[in-house]
Amino acid sequence: MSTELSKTMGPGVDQSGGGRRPFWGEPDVPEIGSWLHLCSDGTVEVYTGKAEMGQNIRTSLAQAVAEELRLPVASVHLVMADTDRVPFDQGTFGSRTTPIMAERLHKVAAAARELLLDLAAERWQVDRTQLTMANGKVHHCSTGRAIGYAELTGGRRLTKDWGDDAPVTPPDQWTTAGQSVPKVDGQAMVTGQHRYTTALTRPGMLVGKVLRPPTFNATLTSLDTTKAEAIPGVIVVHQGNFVGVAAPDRPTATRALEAIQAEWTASKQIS
Amino acid sequence: MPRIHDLSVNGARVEVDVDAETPLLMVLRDDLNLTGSKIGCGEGMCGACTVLIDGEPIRSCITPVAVAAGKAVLTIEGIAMNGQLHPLQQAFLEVGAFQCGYCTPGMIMSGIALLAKYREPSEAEIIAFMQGNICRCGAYRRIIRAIQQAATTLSRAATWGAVR
Repeated sequence: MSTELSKTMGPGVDQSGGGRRPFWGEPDVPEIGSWLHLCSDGTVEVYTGKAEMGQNIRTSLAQAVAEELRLPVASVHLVMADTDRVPFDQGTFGSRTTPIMAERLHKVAAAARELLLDLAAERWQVDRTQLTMANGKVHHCSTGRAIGYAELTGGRRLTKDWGDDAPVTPPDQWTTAGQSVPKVDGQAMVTGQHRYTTALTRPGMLVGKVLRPPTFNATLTSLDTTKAEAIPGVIVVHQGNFVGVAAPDRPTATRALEAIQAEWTASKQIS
Repeated sequence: MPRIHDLSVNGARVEVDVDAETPLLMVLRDDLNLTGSKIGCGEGMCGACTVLIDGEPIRSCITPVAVAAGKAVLTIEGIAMNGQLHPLQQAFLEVGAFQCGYCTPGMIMSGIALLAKYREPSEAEIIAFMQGNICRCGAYRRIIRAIQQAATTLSRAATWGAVR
């Protein structure tokens, strides 16, 4: 590994083991509540800086949490790469999500599971080894008692730290993680409802379009943008041979571009 | 330039006001907010923009909207009936015939045209018919399986004849 790459990755690639392993040079975020929240409707919200871009980590990371918290995958909702809400993350690259983020979420969720068992044991004054977890509830088998996760936590943020020694479920005992499960968002994908980047809009977002010259290296000789600029919301950008428009939506940008009158002089073409 | 003022999309008449040469895909996405049909290559080579015009699969990114005037346009948003997925949508889900899902609407629309032509398509027929649809995730084997599964479902359920 080059020195430069090593610097970028920081100590996260340290393979010496021992202690809590540094996380790709990223600040450690020790609190369980920074990574997940047990919602009062029985679902779990998970926060990660990783971005879904077709690799299906929205599904695989949900599986990791569902595994440790003994929940159906459908009960786990990921908040991804929303920088207001998720722990800092260097980015989604290098096939690091599964080895790093899935492992982390296993540990965080396992720590949350242990915390829930502690809370239930305390509430019922029973030995925690008599408790089991399934489908979003802690069960006390001998008395038939059961309680939902959010009821135990009162919907509060989990401020306890997760630890690198959290008792994650060994892979050979996985029933949800590592299994082939229906894709989260699958239904939206086959119906055309899933929003990809090209379909996203944001408040105040403008759409840009560039006026293309008719030939390579053409020179702009005359330009009349009056009609384009008269269209509400349209901004015309002109610098040298560059002409572009920004508009509130694509059709308006297209209309604005069509309204521009430009003349070009072609230079000698390469071939 | 001539303009197009109304279209028939997914069984409904819709009003638009667009230049006749505008690609159908952009009218669907920008003017009608039907973003299920995808912008892939933008030059008719990848099939992500496939919709049906009078039952024929076309590449909507290079098809002027004028071509669709007076005809029936069917997109991925219009193939589920009464809240029930089209058998090919259902098969894609059950087989897991996609990873990122970006090519899926185009795949399904081409697949529907295929199933209208072949009741029991062979693997060779599926591969030949679907040549124009590219899946960069490489879900081809499962796509073939999903189409075969849907063919079986369709042969049992005559009610879907309407969309075929």
